[in-house]
Amino acid sequence: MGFLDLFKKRPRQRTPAQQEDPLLFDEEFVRKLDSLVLVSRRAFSGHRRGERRSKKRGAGMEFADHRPYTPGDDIRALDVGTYQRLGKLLVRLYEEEEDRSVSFILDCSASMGTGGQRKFRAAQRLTAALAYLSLAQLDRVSLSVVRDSLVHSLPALRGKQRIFRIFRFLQELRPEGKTDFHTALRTFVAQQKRRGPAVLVTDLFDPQGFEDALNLLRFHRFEVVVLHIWDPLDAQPAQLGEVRVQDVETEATVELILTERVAEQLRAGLRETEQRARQFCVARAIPYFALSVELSLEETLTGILRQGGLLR
Amino acid sequence: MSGAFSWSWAGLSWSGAALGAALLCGLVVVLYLLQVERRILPVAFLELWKQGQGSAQATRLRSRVRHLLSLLLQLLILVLLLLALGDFRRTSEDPGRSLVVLLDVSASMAREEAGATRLQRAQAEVRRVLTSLRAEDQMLLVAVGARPRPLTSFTADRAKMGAALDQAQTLDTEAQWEPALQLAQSVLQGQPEPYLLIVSDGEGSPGAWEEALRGAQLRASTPLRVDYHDVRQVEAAEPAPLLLSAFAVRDYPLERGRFEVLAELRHLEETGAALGAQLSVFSWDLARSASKLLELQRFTLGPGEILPVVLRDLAGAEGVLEARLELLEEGRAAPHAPQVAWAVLPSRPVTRVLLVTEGNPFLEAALLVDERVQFQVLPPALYPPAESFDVVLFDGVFPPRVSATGAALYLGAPEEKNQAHAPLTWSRQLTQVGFDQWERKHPLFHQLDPYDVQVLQAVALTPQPGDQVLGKSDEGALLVTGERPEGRFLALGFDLRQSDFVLRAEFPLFLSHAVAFLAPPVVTSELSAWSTGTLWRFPVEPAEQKQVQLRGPEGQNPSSWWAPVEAGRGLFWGERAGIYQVGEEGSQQALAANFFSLTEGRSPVLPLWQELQEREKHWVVREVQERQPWWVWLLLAAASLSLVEWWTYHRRWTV
Repeated sequence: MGFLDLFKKRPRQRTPAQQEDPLLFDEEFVRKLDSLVLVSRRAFSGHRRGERRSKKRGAGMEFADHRPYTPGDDIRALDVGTYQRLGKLLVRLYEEEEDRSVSFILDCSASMGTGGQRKFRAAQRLTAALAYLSLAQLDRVSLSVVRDSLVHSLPALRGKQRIFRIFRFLQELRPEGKTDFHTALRTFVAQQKRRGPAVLVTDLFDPQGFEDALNLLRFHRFEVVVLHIWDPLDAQPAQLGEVRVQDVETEATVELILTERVAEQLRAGLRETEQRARQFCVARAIPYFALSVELSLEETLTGILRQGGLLR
Repeated sequence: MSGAFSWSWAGLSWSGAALGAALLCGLVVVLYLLQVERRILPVAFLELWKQGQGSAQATRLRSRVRHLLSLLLQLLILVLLLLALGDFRRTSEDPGRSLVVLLDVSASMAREEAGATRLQRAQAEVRRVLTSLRAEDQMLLVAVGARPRPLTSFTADRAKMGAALDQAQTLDTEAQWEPALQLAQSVLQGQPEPYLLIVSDGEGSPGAWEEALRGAQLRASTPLRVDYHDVRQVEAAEPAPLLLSAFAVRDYPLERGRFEVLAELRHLEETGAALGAQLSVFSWDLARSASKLLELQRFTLGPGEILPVVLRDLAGAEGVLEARLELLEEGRAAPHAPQVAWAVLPSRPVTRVLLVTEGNPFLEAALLVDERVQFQVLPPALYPPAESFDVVLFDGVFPPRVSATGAALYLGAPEEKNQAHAPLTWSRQLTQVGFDQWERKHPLFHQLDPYDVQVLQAVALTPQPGDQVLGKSDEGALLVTGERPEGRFLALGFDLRQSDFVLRAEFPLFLSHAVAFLAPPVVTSELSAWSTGTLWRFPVEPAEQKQVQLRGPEGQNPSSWWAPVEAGRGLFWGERAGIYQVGEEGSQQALAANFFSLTEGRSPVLPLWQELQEREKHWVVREVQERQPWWVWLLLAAASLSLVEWWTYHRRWTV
């Protein structure tokens, strides 16, 4: 600070959350979601009849295959024509339409709250939007909150009317604590019996690295979708000069002299982190979407997710 | 003056500056330590920010240098500010000069010439001298009027001297130079490099000034250097050579309530033309702050003429008289300021008279004529009354007299049963008599001739030893006065209704004289006006008080003082002419003060003054231009450094 600056009154800097604090989920938000439908690229098994085709053969309308008759099978499923042509007792199998279980895993660590909680608010709204779309398509939606462990879980829900419970659940969350995806997701996969899309909404800031955690989901046959929420402010110092940088999660500090050159290095570092995550996911056929908090929810949903094929 | 120089403080003292420096430097260092303490910047992911750690290592040494540079800059700014506050300046190592300035504040200094008064020009000159004072110089400013009055102590504090100089006012006195020079001499005795500067218009009372000045020079341990600055404007018009040199009021001891006014006019030039003058006399009502014109007279004065003017019978005059003398040019008032003087009229107390009678309209009518008599009628049966009186008139009745009713006037003869209470005895009855003899010089018969008074019936009074017969017929005494234990008495040996006296015009005058004789008014010896430049010793009521309030001059930016009272008289050194009010509000008495001077404003400039004026000045005012206002430059340097610090900070050169 310069000597003259001792007498300069600094304007109070308002965080983005202070500048704009509308309702997280208002009627407008819900109305927008009604026009969007989430589609899946693959079908998953489920217990209830839904709009998604399942590999599970059953009482569906669409023929799938034959198998040899075994005692106890429903004789109404015997294929009489095949028996007349080939003299073998075969049972007709149909693809049964089942519901799908979509799991949302929300990163609720302290790093999501920096920059005026812009990342966390974006993650809340995005999670809520996707959950609504899933519920609208009769999917079973479950919600898990992770920090350095699995801290909260919302049991699987069905039906659009349950979206308000999801809203309430999301609104009560506060970003705090450390991040350890691997530990948290290990618990998640142990508890989550139904496989299906596992949508990870996170900033991917994990000191231990996110790679093992994603592999863990893959190995447990979850269809992993990574929604990488990133904020340019994470690499943009609010002021230059000599500072002691402190990690909001670990509280570890590093002394830095922030200059324009260092600020440029930080921005490049943030881009590099995104590129690294993208390469990792692409190599493993994991849908990856880098979502800036500066985009609106509509842009995020209708643009980026549609390009990724997640919207029809 | 030696040529060696040193640096000194003219503003803050060394100890003050050192204390301030210690405190402020400590504060700056504390602020600096707080400043260099790195701010904590919370970030989302420290691994990302570690990429900038390499540059921190590279710039650590430079950072320390910048820190040091920043602190040094701030301390340097602080030092410069302290030096500016201390008015750090280069001074000579000699002990400094000692200067006494005698500032003439006499009446002539109020004269306006070329848009400014002489005093204003004198103040400007002294102010110029003030700015030429060095830090080690000392100066004493003395206002010279009828007596010298130091306006400051002998000090180097220019602010204090400047404030005192601004408050200097002209006085209605002459400038007495002898005591002023003696004061300057005593002050400068033993002082290093003594200087004496006289700022005056050269007019006033010289006294033994020449001896005083030469004595001061002789007695000084080091040579006293004397300068004289003349504030007159040579081309300015001379004042009118007309002077109101006296104005006073006196009352007649033998004539109650009468007074006469004396004024004296002077033509001050011995040669030249005659002057026309107009003298106006006003009566001032202080309670209402209003005046009314009583008299206006015009005169012509020849060169050198002294004209006494006596004004009598100024009807309606009361309170304070104001005289204005104006010069007339072609029958009109000339554009010169009129000369004004004031005088307090003698007090005229009211005499309280008790008229003991069964009813006598002659007496009552005659008493009503005298406005200074306040009478009350009382039936004889009610005598004596509870109140006290100055005079009692017994109209044909002779009750036992009490002293509380004052001196007595007996009219007529008593009945036999009451003769014991009469102050005199009666020898025989008289018929058809008159005053054949009377004491013509007695105040009772002032402007009065009783010879024609006809008396049908009277008694011959028999005076006792010590009594005085004031009037008598050939057959016996008719008017006798004397003293009795109850007080003075006057006895008239006939009933007023048995004579034609009451029908004569002299009777009210006789009665007024009788009342004045029986209760003579207190003839005051007080002055009608005091002179400025003297000690006033004015009477104070009540005399027991320790101090009395004095306020005045009325209408001229009045001031208020508490004057000590000694032996029933207030003591006050008066220096301004005008009307003053003495005492608490509600019981105030007027006091007038005048300034008459034949020399002030008229006297030629003193020869020594002229000699000093022509001599080369000792006190060099030239230094004003040469002196360096270091504090300004120091302040500018501090501001510049602050700008540099601010500029470098925003470029991250300093922190």
